Amino acid sequence: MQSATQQPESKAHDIAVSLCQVSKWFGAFKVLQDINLEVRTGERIVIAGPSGSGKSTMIRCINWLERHQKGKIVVDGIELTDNNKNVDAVRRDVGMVFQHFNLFPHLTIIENCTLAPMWVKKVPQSLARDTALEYLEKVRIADQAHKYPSQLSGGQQQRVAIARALCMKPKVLLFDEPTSALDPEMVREVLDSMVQLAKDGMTMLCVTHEMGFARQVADRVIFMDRGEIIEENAPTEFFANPQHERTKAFLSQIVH
Amino acid sequence: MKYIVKGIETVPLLLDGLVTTLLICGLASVLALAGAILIVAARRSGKRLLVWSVTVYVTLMRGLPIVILVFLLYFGMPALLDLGRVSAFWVGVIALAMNGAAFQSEVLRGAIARLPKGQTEGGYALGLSKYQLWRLVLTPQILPIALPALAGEVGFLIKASPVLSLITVVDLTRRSQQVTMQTFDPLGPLLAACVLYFILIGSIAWASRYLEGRLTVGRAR
Repeated sequence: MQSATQQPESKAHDIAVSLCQVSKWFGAFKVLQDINLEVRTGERIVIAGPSGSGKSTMIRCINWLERHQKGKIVVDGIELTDNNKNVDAVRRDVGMVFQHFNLFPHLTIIENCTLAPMWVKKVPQSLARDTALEYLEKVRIADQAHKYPSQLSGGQQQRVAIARALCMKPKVLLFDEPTSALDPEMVREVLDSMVQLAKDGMTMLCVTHEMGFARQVADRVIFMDRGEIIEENAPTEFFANPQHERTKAFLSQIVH
Repeated sequence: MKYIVKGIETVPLLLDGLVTTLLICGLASVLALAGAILIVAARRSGKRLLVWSVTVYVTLMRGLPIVILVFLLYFGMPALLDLGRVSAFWVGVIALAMNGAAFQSEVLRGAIARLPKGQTEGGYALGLSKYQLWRLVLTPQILPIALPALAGEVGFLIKASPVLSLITVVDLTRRSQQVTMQTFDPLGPLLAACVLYFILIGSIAWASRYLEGRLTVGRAR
């Protein structure tokens, strides 16, 4: 099933996600300060930065889990506004993988994967199951399809969460620290699935501290601090030759 | 032993009272649950006036003896609104429902607070609508958590319902006293009422445990 990862031809959709002068406040505290970012279709972006720098908030604005208060966010040609239709349309196109998986504990793995396609996209059950098994196979977990989330390890649950997001055939996938809640020995299996996705051409925005992953797949690394994008570069340049003092300080702490 | 036999012999005489108790408590429980859902929805609406008024309502109901509420509705309200005579049966249903709604709304609120974090965001991120989120994701998880406490609240309503004999409702308690007055037997009818209340409340507790097991089946937590 390649349709989810194919790159659209039309020029208008060359830009998958665009943020223009986006700002957001939590009370008086400005979490995002005039963020400008354009993500091309098929591009893989890793967002790094100290905690509290606004990186999670930024990607959560892209599927309207957080609302920006100023500026403009356009996803696949649709602008995010108070219009519920637009929000629904964007959420159908944008998948998200969370730090804590957020699987539905009362549903089996396969039911977790077929729920949204059946109810949101009205896909017939048999087709939804076929698709789900295909993606579960892709993250190498199809044999657990009839178990409940609590019967799986953290790494397995996160791979299910990736498959669940893929079942909606999103045009963009957001990852919000997908490996931060995992035991160290389970990080690899999740990263492997993400690398595979990147190779398939999925448009990805990943908030992560896994700098090895950034080196391996990212087209661009974005460094955020105090609500601002203060540096962005190709990974080789970013790691070899950081420009900003705060980037240097951050990298010296995180890369050993 | 003699008294027990006598008590059991009296049971058939009380059945019409039992039916009234069942009807009032059944109707009141259903209305209370509906009311509780509305109260929870109002509390979550974020509209300040709405949140404030249901909070006051719940606090009042939790602090008010049921018997006062029943008297207010049966004697006070008709006088105030010039209604004449009102149906004791329906006053009973409404009083118990009003009280039950307040307590059940607290049960639901507690169950919602115990949902695993991130379920709402997980659902929204997949494109579910608010209705779909509640129907497919949240409610199936709230039910098994809330069920034992909701069953407890229904038991509480049944135990509060004898207060309605004070406003002429011939419920199980009132009926047992009528039988006492006819037979001059002070103990038998009361024992019979005990047995019937006990069976009623016991079977609700049993049914809730059975349902809870069914709802959580296959789910290793």
